[in-house]
Amino acid sequence: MRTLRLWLRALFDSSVVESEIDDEIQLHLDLRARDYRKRGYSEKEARDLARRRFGDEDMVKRQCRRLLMVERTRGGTPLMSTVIRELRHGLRSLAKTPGTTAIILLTLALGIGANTAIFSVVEGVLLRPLPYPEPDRLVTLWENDRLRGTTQEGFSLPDYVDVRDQNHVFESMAAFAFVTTTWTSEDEQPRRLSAARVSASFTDVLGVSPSLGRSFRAEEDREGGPPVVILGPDFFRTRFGATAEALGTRLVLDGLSREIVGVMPEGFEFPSPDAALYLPLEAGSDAARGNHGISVVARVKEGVRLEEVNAQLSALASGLEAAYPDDNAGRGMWGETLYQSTVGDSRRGLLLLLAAVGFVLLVACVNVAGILSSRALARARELAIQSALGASRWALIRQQLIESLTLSFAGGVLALAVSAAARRALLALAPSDLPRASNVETNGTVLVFTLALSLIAALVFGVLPALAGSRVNLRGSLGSAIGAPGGRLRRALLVGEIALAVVLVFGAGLLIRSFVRLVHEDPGFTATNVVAVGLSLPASRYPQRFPEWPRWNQVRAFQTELLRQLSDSPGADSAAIAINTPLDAGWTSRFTIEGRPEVAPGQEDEVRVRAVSPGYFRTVGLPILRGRDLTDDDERPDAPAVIVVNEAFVRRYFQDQEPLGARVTQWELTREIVGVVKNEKFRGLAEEVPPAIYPTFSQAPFAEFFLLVRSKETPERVLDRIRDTVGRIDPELALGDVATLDERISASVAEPRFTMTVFAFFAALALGLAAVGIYGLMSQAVGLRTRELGVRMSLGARPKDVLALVLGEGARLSALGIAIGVILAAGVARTFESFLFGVEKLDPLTLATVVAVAAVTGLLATYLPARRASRIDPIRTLRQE
Amino acid sequence: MPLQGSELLHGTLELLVLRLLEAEPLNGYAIGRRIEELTDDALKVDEGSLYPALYRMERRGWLQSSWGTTENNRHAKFYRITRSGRERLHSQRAEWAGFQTAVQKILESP
Repeated sequence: MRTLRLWLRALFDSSVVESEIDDEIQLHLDLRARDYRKRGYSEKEARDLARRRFGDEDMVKRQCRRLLMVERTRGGTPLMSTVIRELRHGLRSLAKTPGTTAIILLTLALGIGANTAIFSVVEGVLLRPLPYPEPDRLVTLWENDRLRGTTQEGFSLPDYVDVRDQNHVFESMAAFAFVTTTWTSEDEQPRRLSAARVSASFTDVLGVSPSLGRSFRAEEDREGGPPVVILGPDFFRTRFGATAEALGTRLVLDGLSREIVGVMPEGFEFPSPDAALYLPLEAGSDAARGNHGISVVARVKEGVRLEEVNAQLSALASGLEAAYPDDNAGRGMWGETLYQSTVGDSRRGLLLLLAAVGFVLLVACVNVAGILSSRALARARELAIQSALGASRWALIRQQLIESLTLSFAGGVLALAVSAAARRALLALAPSDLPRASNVETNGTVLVFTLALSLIAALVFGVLPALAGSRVNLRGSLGSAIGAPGGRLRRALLVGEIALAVVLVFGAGLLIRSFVRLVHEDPGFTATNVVAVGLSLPASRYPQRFPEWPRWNQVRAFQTELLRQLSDSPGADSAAIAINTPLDAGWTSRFTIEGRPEVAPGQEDEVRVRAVSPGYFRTVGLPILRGRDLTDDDERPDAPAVIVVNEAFVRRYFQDQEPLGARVTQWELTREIVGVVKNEKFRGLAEEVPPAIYPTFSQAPFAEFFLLVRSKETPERVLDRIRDTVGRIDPELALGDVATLDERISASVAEPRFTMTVFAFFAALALGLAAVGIYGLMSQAVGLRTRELGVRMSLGARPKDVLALVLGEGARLSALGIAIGVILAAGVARTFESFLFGVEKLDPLTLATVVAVAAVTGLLATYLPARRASRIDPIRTLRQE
Repeated sequence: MPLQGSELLHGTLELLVLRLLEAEPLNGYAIGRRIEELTDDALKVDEGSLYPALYRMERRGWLQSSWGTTENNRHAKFYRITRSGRERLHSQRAEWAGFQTAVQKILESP
């Protein structure tokens, strides 16, 4: 109890502590003077006598202070009270220089805070285990295709069933698919919802039971089973107020009334956070072995390793290849942990940022080390006296370290505030598909990290100045300051600071250049003024039986009427429908070209297929290069089947032949090539344009599609018009996936933008800290050399010469730092390689820019101290000593 | 016989301080004054020794200090004796008595 009180007093009562000795002695003098006055002395005489009687006041104070601070060599005292005293002393000396202390705390708060923020994201997204029991046993399964070079494809339903029934490594398996569904209710506009179709086993595999009701039964997971639905936690909360009465009521989804049989627990985010509902997978609905539209997750048997899983999958895949050569030739299967498939893609970006922010903290530490070493030098006299009074070197180092720890922990506390703000900014900037973003918070792990970081930082920035300070000797510091003690340390800090900043700025430069390249990459299409809206026609009212395809009359009637009404409306320059929007890769299909040599079944090439209505190329601004555009005539039921192909298709398959008039067979339908269109990007701006064919939509209709409208009106007005038009034709349809093409381009580069923005911010922070640090270190050097510079000036050096002298030293050190930084940057450049697009990892332009930026920063930061040096008054400096 | 504190035998000042504080908590000045009064100014305490001695004794855990107010309402630091201070006083007292007897024996020897 008493110890605690002492600690508290030492920590919080520093003002009392500071003047304790002074007060006590002042009281002594006053009381003594009072006694003298009583004996008849005058006020002044009494004071003088009291003072004289006391003797060397300063010496007594010093001795007392020393007794408070420095552990005596004999008569050991408990370490705790020594620490308290030194803590007190540290606080006192920090309070004496509030400006410097504030700069140190701010620097640390920024450095540690930025690290804490990034770490809290890393912890929530990467480090925390998935929220399922024994998450390490969960794996995601993929297929690949050796013949077409694909590495990661979904499963087909029959493949899933075969693996499920034949394997010996999985305890249980589940299949699922992402879908959207339209929810209609009496009170509201129809709404499109993200949903997952899941096999009944999905709760067993994940090990999570519904919080209300039950999971699907096996008989519900088949075609024609009873119509049921399970709610996701968010939908349950927002639409049903989380009341249990929701169970047993019905939802109308895509025109089908389904009974709510269960609710998943709060925090359940499988397979993605936006899944509002779960529907039975309804096995059989898309059961073709060649249709790879489902995802598979499995729980591995206890003790089975991933290698064994993959060996088993390879064996099963070979069996399927032999059994079904038409569909499965060249197909393999493999698994990765669910963790990997969930967060794998965000991993390298976050780790890069974690590394970058570590550099920022290093720069911050170097900065603080510089400030502290300059204070240590300023206190050289004090230290020398303590040393002369018998304080050991260890005692002096310890004193300095305790001060560093105090600073660091105070900085750490401030850092928590900084990190809270920074984390909000990070999450606002982060791509919307960052997995598990809702996990990010300041929890115990993050706090421990901050604490550890503060401790490490204190050691990094505290040890150097402590050693420097402890080496101070009487001769050096009680004598004059010629030769500027601590010069080597100061120079090393300055060089190190620049070098670290250069590495970060170089990385930022590469990422910025790469990003600029990326966004200036020509997507092929013209994005401005185009609004895209997703639509889905329910099978209940728009029959879509596969045997009748492509003669889906109701679907085609809706699409024709929609385009007719929109084209007639004022303001719309053009409108079209397409199976996917630009930049949405869509899917591929096998095809053959008439008259070419036969290819063994299962080994045909694949091509991107994008079914579009005739207005598509005009709407997205893709010029027809040869032949003709698709026209309304091609839409007529009896029209001959035609396609347009892209440049990449011609380059691959018709190098020196005439593409126009050639006939392409795909999906058992043979179509004639009537035109060649300019390339458009299919998957992201960074990827090469694949060969693609564009059948006309009526000849390849789909019930789920996008409507694209080009108009000079605002997107909001266009959207209103689309909503009115769709509502007039079918009031029960909902619009989904609303975005302009510009927004889609922007979303496609969200991840590199995030990485670049945050990295660039860190680089700027590091450069700013380095500039402040250089300024501080050079000011300190000039301060310590005042006398020398004064002598030089009195011997005839002009202000200009002094300016050049100091600037010269700054420039030399900066140049050395930049050189070291460039070497370091070249060393770590390989790390950036996978983040770059169109920029070499050792891009000379970036290197040159970084060197220039660092040099200018170094010079500017040196200029102010140099100018101050050139204005030294030689007479005054010489008189001072 | 104006003895300066510095001439006090080693350890004697500590003994005197502990003895005075055994009776009541005192501030630094009062300790010095009390010694002077009780010895009719025969012993004068040198402040240069008194305060470091007080700090040293506090460090060793014999004294404990706290801030309070004097009868004249001045803010002052008061020292009080601790349990280990009392033990120290006992042993020092015994030592002093032994020393005194020893000296006495020599002085009274024929």
